[in-house]
Formats: sequence, C-alpha cells, structure tokens
Amino acid sequence: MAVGMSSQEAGTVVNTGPLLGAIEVGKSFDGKTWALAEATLTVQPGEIVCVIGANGSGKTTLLRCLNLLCTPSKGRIVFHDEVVGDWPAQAKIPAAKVRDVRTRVAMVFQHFELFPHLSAMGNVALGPRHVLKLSKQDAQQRAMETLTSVGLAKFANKRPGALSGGQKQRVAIARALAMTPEIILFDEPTSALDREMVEEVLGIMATLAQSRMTMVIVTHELNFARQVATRVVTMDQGRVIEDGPADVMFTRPQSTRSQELLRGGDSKLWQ
Amino acid sequence: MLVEVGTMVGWAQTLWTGFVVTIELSAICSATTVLLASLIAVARIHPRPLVRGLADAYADVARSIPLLALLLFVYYGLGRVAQSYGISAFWLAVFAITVSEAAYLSEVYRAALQAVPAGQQEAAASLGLPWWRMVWLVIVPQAIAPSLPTTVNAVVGIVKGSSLASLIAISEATLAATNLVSETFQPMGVYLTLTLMYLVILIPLSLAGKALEFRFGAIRPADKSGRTRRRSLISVTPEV
Amino acid sequence: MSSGYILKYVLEGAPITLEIAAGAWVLGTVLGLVLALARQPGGVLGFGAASVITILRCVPPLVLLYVVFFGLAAEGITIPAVPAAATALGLVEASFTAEYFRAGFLTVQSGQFDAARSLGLSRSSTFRLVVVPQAFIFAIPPLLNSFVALLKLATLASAVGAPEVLYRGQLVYEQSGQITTVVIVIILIYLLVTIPLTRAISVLERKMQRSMR
Repeated sequence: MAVGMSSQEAGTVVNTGPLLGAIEVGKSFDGKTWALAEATLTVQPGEIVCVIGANGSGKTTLLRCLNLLCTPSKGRIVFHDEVVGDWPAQAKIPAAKVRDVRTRVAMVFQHFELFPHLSAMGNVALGPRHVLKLSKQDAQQRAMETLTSVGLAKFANKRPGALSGGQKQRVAIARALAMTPEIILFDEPTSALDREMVEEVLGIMATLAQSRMTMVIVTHELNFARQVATRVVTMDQGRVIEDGPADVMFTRPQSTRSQELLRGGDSKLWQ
Repeated sequence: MLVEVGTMVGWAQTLWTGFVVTIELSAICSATTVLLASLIAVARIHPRPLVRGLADAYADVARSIPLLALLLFVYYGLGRVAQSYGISAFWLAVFAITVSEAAYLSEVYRAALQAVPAGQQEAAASLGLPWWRMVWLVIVPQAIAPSLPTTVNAVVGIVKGSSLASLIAISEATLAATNLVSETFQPMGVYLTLTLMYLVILIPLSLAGKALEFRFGAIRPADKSGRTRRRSLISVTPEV
Repeated sequence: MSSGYILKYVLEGAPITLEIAAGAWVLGTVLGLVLALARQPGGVLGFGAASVITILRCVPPLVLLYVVFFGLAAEGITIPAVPAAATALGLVEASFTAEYFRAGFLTVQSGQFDAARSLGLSRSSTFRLVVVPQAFIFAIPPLLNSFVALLKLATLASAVGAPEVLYRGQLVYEQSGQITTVVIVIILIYLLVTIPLTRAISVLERKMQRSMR
C-alpha cells in the first residue's frame, strides 16, 4: 500500500500524500507483547475510513497513535506529507508540533470524556477559547453554533451529569467540531451506548460524513459502516488484514478473517 | 481540683487575647499552606523528572522533620537576621508551620489530582491543550471537592500546631495560659480552661471535616511512598 | 566544640525519644483498640467512645502534656517528664489508632461477617475470631506509621524537660552557639531514621495488599 494512493470513492480524487497516516507502526506496552504489530493506515481528505476488528486487534491503539495520544514503539506518523515522528530513532517530538497536530486532528472517545465540572457550552467552548485563542464571545458563539448543529442548542447550559449517553456523545462530537478539525477520529463512539441512543449518534455522524468531513471510525456497527464508509480496513492481532474500498470490502473481501469480521450486518460484532 | 466556673470564665477572658493571635496565626498559615501544598502537588505530577524530583524531595524532607524542631531552628537560626529586617517571630512561625504542614497536605492533593480519571487528561490533550492549561482548566477543578475534607482536617492540625509557637515566644493562647499559670499557680484549672477553649474551636471544625468526608469521600494517598498507578500526568501531554 | 561532640551529645537523647515513642505507641494502640471496640455497638457506649475520640483528636498535644505534667503535679500526682510525655502523646495517638482499627473493622466486616455468622458463630465470637484479627493485620501499616509519627511528636517532651534529642540539641546549642551544626545534626538524625522506616513500611503495605487479594 503505497503512500499517495488516491481515493476512488469520495469523488474528490486527490493524488497527493495522505492527510494523516500511520506507516508500519508498532506498539508494545511492556516490551514483550505487541498490541500493534505492524500496521499501516493512511487517510486522504474526504475519505470515511471504517476500521473493523475484534477487541484486542489493536484498532484503538492504532487510532490513538494517529493523534499521538499513544507513542509508537516503531514506525512513522505523517501529517500532510510531513513526517511528524519516526520511531524508535525519534527523540521527543516538540510540544508545539504535537499540539499543532492535535489542534487539527480531533478525537471522539468511547466514554465521551466530557469535563464534568463544565456545562455543555463550557465543554465545547474550551478548545476554541484556550487552544485556538478565540475571544470569550467568539468561542461561546462558535460553541452555540456547533451545539445547534448536533441538535443540542437547548442543552447548552446543562452539565454532563444531566445528559443522557447519546446527548453526551453528541456534545463530545460538537466539542470536536468546534475546533474546525481537518479530520475526526472516532474510537468506538457508540459502544458505550444503549441501543436507542446509538441511532441518535450515528445519525449525527452520517450527516457529518455527507458534509465531506474526513473521518476515521473504529466501530462494530457494520450497517452504519456499509452506509457511510468510503473505505474499510480490517484488523486482527495488531495487523491490518485488508484495506480497500467499501463496496469491494463488503461484497468480496479476500481474506477469510475479513469475511468473518464483515459478515452479518444486523448484528453487532461480539468478541 | 474543684474550680469555680466563675474563675474559669475569668481565666477564659484572659486567655482570649491569646486566642485572637492563635486564630490570626492559624488563618494565615491555613491560606499559605493550602497555596504551597497545591503548588507542590502540581509539581509532583509535572512531566519533567527534575521538577517532580525536587517537589518529592521537599515533601520527604519536610515530613521527616518534627514541627517543633523546625520552629526552633528557624527561631534560633534566622531570628536575629529576621529581626534586623523588621520581621517578627510571628512570621517565622508562619514559615515553619506552612513548610511543615504543606508537605503533608501536598501528598493528599497529589493523590486527588491523580484520582481524576485518565480519560479526562486524554480528552484535554486531544484538544491540543498544553500541560499547564490542562491541569488548571480540567484536572484541578475536579480535584477540589474530594480534597475539601482533608483540607479542613489540615486546618485543625494547623491550629494544634500553632500551640507550639508558644515555645518561640509567640503570644498565642498556650503562652497566655503558661503566663497565667505563673500568676495563679493553678496549672490544672488554667490548662483545662485552655483545653476547653481549644475544643470549642476545633470540635466544630473537626465535625465539619467529617461531614464533608461523608459527602465527598476521603482521599487516601495510595500508599505512603506515593507510587500510584500514574506517576505523573505525562504520557499524553506535551509540555508547556 | 567539634561536630563529633555535638553529634554524640545529641544522640544521647535518642534512647529517651525511643522510650517516649514506644510508651506512647503501646498506650495509643491499646487504648485505640478499646475505643474502637467500644464504638462498634453504637448506642450510649458508642456515642461516648466517639466523643472521647473526637476530644482527643482536637486537643493540641502540647496542652494535654501540660495538663498531665503540670496539672497533675499541682494536684499531688507527680509524674516525671518521660512517662508524662508518653501518657499525653499516647492519649492523642489513641484517637488516630481508633480510626485505623475502625477502618479495619469496616473493611473486614462486609463479606466476612455474614459468612461467619451463617456458620453459626455468635456476634461476639465472630468479632473476636474473624473481624478483630483481620482488622489488626489491616491496621499494621498505619500503626507502624503512627510509631514513626510518635518519634517526631516526642520532641514535644522537651517542653517539660525530658532529655530527648531536641532538648539535648537545645542544650548543646546554648553551650556552643553553633546553631548550624546542631540543626544539621538533628535534621540528619530524623531524616536517616524516618525516611528508611517510612519506605520500609510502604513496601510492607504493598506486599500485604498483594497477598490479601
């Protein structure tokens, strides 16, 4: 899989380097077992990449390497044609560089991770105010707009404790959007939600996908992936098994493991 | 031993002047201790090992030296120098009590900071927040409520510690009592009155601390060496 | 006056410090256990025990020491400085050890109590055979820490003339005027004793936590 492969599905054929990529990345937490053995995942602008795998396949670790929450043990992370880090030779990445990447790469977490001491508005405005250095009014205005776009304008002053799981995750998405990111990473965004709320959140994500936001989504929701993905990546045991256009992957996946993982649209993947 | 209530009331009135100083001393020390302990606690979770090491070293050393020893050191060692600058012994006592008590309190504050779930750090980091802002905007606010009970208990400890200042000639309550004893030759009665007056101040405080503990839960340092699961909030955040 | 002399002079107070700390520790542990047990059943006795604990926690140790040493002497009961200090500090410490035992009781009680009772053990036997022994084991690390704390609290005894480390430090300072040396000597003594002890106790604590899982 060469860096620079164009995206065939999105309608925007971009023949440049990837927007964001993890190249031959490996991660070991204890020096013995490798959560991520060697995985390559690159994302072009406009793509919606769904990463499918069983628990423990390394998909979350890979995602977290993309915004440097996790430091790879080996491999490279590239952002806009620039090699951000190259391990194991890499010394520490300058803090400013890490912050720059994270400002432009947003993440939505499985357990929402809203700041409990702030209202929904406070949560969403925090980044714009303190990272993007907007004025208080501008930050709040942007927060209000983003909350409105996810349908939660009325809940702006509520604390996370007063919100349902689905609402919390929508606030989390708003928080990510308020940073006007170039790409959003989703780490199993609906795995911690009850069934009814899953649809609520997936709806927002589908709308986002239609507006051409670049997204990488680790998920078990195969129906959803079928709907929105432009590309599907299957992972197992810390490696990428297969990586291809969504329509191909869902109809003719090549490896048996991929077939297992992608089989069955109506049921969620259980471990 | 039977002392008339009237006499005790009279003594209490005499001792009250001393208590005013006790309250002053304790209030100032409480403020400075909370401040210093907060700074030390944040330093103990700083990404840079040097900062952490210095803060840890301060906490270890300051907790090992008895408060009375520190008071005497400061008094005899710096007393003359301080006087030449016009700094009274009162401030030497503030210094000693603060340095000593803050070491213990920083242990608890550090545990409270580390008790904030790691996911919060990650969410803040993924927004691009630098370390200081993450700590100030996200971590510290969530660590305040759980630390309140222990802070109240620390104030109780500070008031008790203030009685030691009597031994470096600070005119607080205990010294007032000692002087009164030398006038009345009734140590039992006077010291019991003194005890009762301390209890009047400290029992409500102590009960308030218990009530807060009930409401917010108590932070217990994970273990005395301070080695909890995460040694510092470092792995996900870039530095300042 | 040489540093060596100062060191020796001050160190001669160490046995007194140990005596005071040990005496206070024994008193504090025993009394703390009694108070914790008395508190358990609740009711009038429980309330009384809780009140005693609160009072002992809220008295400044120095003041209690004055009551025991000066107060009792004026009433005809003369207690020498060292036992007086051990008594006063022991009383103060009892309020803390009572808390350690109580925490131990609560921790052990949840599952084990019911298990023992369903075997047919009476309430007091359950307590005696199952809860208290385990609570004791649970309370060992904090009890050891309280001994270390008492080593430091023993300095208060210098206020009533007990010749422990700090008192002797004051004496040798008055004789020599060498404040810096005296300060360094005393600091070193306390650092070299308390830090290794505290570390050892936390190692023990971790080992115990692991084996109790």
